[in-house]
Amino acid sequence: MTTGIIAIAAGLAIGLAAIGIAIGQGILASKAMESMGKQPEAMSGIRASMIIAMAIMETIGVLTFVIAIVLAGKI
Amino acid sequence: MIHVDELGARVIVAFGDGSVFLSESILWGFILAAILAALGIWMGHGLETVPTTKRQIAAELIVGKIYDYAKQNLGNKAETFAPYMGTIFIYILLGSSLGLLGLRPITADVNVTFSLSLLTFLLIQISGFRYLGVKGKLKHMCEPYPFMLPLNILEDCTLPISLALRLFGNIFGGMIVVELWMYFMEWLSAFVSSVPFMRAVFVLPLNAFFDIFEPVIQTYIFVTLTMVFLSKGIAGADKNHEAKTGGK
Repeated sequence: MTTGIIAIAAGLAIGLAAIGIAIGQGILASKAMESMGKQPEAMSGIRASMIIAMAIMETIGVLTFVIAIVLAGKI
Repeated sequence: MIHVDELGARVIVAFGDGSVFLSESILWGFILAAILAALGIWMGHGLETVPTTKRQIAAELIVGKIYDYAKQNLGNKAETFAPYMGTIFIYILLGSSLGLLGLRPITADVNVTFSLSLLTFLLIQISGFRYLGVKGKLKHMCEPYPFMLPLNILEDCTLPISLALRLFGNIFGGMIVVELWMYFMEWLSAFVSSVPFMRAVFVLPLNAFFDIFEPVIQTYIFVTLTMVFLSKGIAGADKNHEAKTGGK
């Protein structure tokens, strides 16, 4: 019983985090593409800051991944 | 199969009763540092004013790139901090790419990433005191309003944790995905022949992503965040510098 709940919790943790990150990164990417289209000469700067911002968003996913690993160790 | 309890770094050399030991990440870390140091000394000896050897041209290219990169984020303080930034850049990049050699990446160990991010934390705090003075540093901590002091302290303390866990989680996750894929390929190729040839061939795209692309991105982010927070930590030491970087 408890084992099953822990397994569900590990799955839910990373799944729920993935929803938020996916939405955030989608918005970020679409805005970055828009501004690249408007100003192609600023493309390299926009790309660099886009990748950094994406990686900062991904931190949440990585943290939940660590939590999921810790939870999976308890099964 | 992978068990969660066995995901940590293996102990390679144990001294005495086993409480003092060298794990594989520490050992590869030492070896990597020794190789990099030897390479650096070899590339840096016998320099001439007008470079004639390929060795010196390559060295100047690498050092010049690192100084340019530091200058973008740190302005006129770049000369002081660029050697440290270049060192951790090359060290983390090669340390995370060790999976290419079939070894365990040293940054897939939370101890290594935490020690790296503690270095960043100490660097930011100590250079804050050095460039702003004790009074200036305290004043800097109370910006924009004095009641923000607890939040600023909290921000300073969460920076090393988030830096360490970001690097650790990305490299560690990549390592697990590559391992699982290799088990899957071994299982698939057992239907065709007794030699697990698919394990060697079809893992290459994953290696390219998780052992080359991901370490480059994560190293870039680690060093960039270090520089951004460092330049924020010493902002105000020189007003011209602050105006030039636009408060970045």
